Amino acid sequence: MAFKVGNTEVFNDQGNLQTAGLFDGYILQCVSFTTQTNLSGTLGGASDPGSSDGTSYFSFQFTPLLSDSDLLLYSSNICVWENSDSNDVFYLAAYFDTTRISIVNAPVRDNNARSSLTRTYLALNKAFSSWGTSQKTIDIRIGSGNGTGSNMVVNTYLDTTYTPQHETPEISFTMIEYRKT
Amino acid sequence: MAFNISTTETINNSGVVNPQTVTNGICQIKNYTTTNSLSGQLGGSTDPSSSDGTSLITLAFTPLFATSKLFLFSNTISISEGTNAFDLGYVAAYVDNTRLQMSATPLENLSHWVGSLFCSWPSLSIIFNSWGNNTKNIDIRVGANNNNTPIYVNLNPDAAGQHPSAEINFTIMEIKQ
Repeated sequence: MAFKVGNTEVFNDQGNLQTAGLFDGYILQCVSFTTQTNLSGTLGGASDPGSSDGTSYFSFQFTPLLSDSDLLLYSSNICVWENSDSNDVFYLAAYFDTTRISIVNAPVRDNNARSSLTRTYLALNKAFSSWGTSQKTIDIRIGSGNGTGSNMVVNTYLDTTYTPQHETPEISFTMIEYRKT
Repeated sequence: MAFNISTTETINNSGVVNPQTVTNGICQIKNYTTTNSLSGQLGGSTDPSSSDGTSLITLAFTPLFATSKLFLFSNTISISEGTNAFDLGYVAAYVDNTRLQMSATPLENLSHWVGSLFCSWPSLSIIFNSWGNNTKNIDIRVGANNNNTPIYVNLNPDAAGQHPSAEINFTIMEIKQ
C-alpha cells in the first residue's frame, strides 16, 4: 500500500521512496567515465569559446532521472601544455548542446616558463541544473584562449628520449545527480 | 500531516523524508563558483593562519547535523609569482581560526622556471568534522610563504585570452554518520 502525505505519494505500493520524499542533497545516481585520450597538434579555440571551438577531448552521454535535480560534474586533473610558444592561455570547458556548463583556465604567468612554453593543470568541479530526463551528450573540449591552438599537447609528453609514459594514463569524469528542491 | 515514529518526525508536512532519519550517507551538497582573479602583494606566511594571505572566496555553509563529516574539494587554483621573492604559493581553507587544509603542490624545482619565478596549481580535498548546525563561512585564502611578493592567482598578466568567466569551483558534501 502506498504511503501518502495529503495527496503526495511518499512511498509507492512497492515501498520505494518517491521523488516528493527526497530531501535536498539526496543522491539519485553517480556515474564515472574514463578516457586515456591524448591530443597534440592544432586544437583551435577562442577567448569566449562556443561549443564548436577548440577540440573535443572526450564526450559521454548522461540521462538525468529528474528534470529538477542538480548535476555535479567533476574531473581529475588534465595536463595541457605547448611545445612551441604559440599560445598563452589554455582552457577546459564542458557543454551540452550549445550550453557551456563551465570553463576553467588556471593560467600562470606566461613569462615564468622557459621560452614562454605555457602549461597548466585543468579540472572541472561544477554543479548545474538538469536539462530534463532525455539523454544528452556532454562534450569536454580543450583549446587555446588566444592564438590558433597550434602545438598544443594534452595528457601526454612528446619526448622520445625515455621510455614511453605509463600505458594507461587515465582522465576520469564523474557525474552526480542529486535532489535539488 | 507529518509522519512521526515516536517523537522523531520521519516525514514532514510536505511529504519530504527528514534526513535525520537516514542512517548514513550524503545528506547535503553545495557547489560554489568564483571567477575572481587576484594580483599584488597578497600576504601569507610559511605557516599561514586565518588572517594571513588574502581571501579568494568565502563559502557559507550550514551543516544539517553536528555529527556529520564534511567533504570539501576544489579544482586547481593557479598561482604564479611576479618577482622571485617566494617559492611557494598556497591555498588554505579556514573555519573561524581553524585551518582545515593548506595545499601548495611544490612539485617542480625552481630551475624549471625562468628566473626562479615559481608557479603552482594547488587544490583542496579534505574531510573534517561538522562544527554544529549553525551557518559559518569557510574562508578560502591564497598567499605565499613570503608576504611581500607580488603573486597572481587565476591570472596570466602577460597575455590576453583568459576567459572573463574562467571559474574556480568548490564543493561541500555533508556525510551523515
